[in-house]
Amino acid sequence: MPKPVSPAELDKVIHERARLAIVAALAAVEDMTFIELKDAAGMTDGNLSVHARVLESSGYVAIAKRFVGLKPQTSLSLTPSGRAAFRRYLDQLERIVAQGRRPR
Amino acid sequence: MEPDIEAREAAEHLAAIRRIMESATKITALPGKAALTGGALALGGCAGSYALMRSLDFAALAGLPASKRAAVIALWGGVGILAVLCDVVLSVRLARRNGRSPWSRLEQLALYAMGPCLGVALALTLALGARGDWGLAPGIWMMLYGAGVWMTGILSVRAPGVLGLAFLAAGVLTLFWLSAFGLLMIALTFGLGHIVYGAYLLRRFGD
Repeated sequence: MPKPVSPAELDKVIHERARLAIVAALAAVEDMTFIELKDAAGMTDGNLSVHARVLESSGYVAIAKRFVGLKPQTSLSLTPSGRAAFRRYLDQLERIVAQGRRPR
Repeated sequence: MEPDIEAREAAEHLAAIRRIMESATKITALPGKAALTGGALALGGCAGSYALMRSLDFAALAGLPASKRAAVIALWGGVGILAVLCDVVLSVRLARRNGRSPWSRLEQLALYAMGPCLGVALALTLALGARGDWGLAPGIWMMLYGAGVWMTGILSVRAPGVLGLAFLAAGVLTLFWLSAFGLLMIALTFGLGHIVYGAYLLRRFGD
C-alpha cells in the first residue's frame, strides 16, 4: 500500500492556485509566449508576472526574452526540476484522492 | 503555513489541472497568418471569377463557353490548393517555432474534421456541375467548410467554433435565398471573414 501523503509534503510553491495554473499550462507544451500563457491560465499581466517570477526564483520556470522580427517576445517554459516537481505534486494529489476513497 | 487539503479539494485541483493543460495545448496551434493568406487568396479568386463570368451568380457558369468555364474551375482549384499549401507551411512553421511536432494529435484530429467535409463539398460541386447546376456551389462550400471548422473548434479555443457557425449560417442564407449573389457571399465569408479571423488570431495570440 502506498505511503499516506501528509498535507505538509505538498510543494507550497506549486500548490498556490495561480502558480499551479502556470505550471499546468507549461507542462502541456515545450514553451509558451507570455500572451498564450496569460490566456491559458486565465490571468492578468501583473498577476502572471509576479507568479512567474516566484516560479523562476524557485528554479521551476525559465523565462526567455527574444525578438520576433522587431517585436520583443517573452516565452516561458518549465525547467526539468519544474517538470519533476509537477509530476511529484500530481502523484501526491492522486494519492490524497485515493486516501479519501479508502474506507476509514 | 502548511497547505491544508482534503480528498475532494485534491480531486478539484486535478480536474482544474486537466482543463488548463488541455486549453494550453489547443491555444498554441492556431496560425493567424494562414487565415489572412487564405482570405486574400479567396478575394483574388472572386475578382478573377467576376472578370471571367461578369456575374455574381455561379449559375452563369452554365452559359459560358467551355474554355471560360474551365478557367473559372481551374482558378478555384488553384485558390484551394494554394490556400491548403499556405495553411500547411505556416502551421508547420508555427509548430516548429514553438518547439512542437507539426503533426501532433491535434493537427491529425483537425484533418479528420476538415477532410471529409471538404471532400463531400468537392464531390457535390462536381456532381451538380456535371448537371450544369453551379449556382448551389457557394452555399454548399460555405456549409461544409463551416461544419469542418466548427468540428475543429471543438478541439480548440472559441474562435474557430464561432467562425464555423458563421460559415454555416452564411451557407444556409446563400443556399436558400442568396444564391444569385454567390460570388459576393464567397468574398464576404471566405475572403473578408478569413481576413478578420486571421487578424483577430494575430492580435490575440501573436504569430
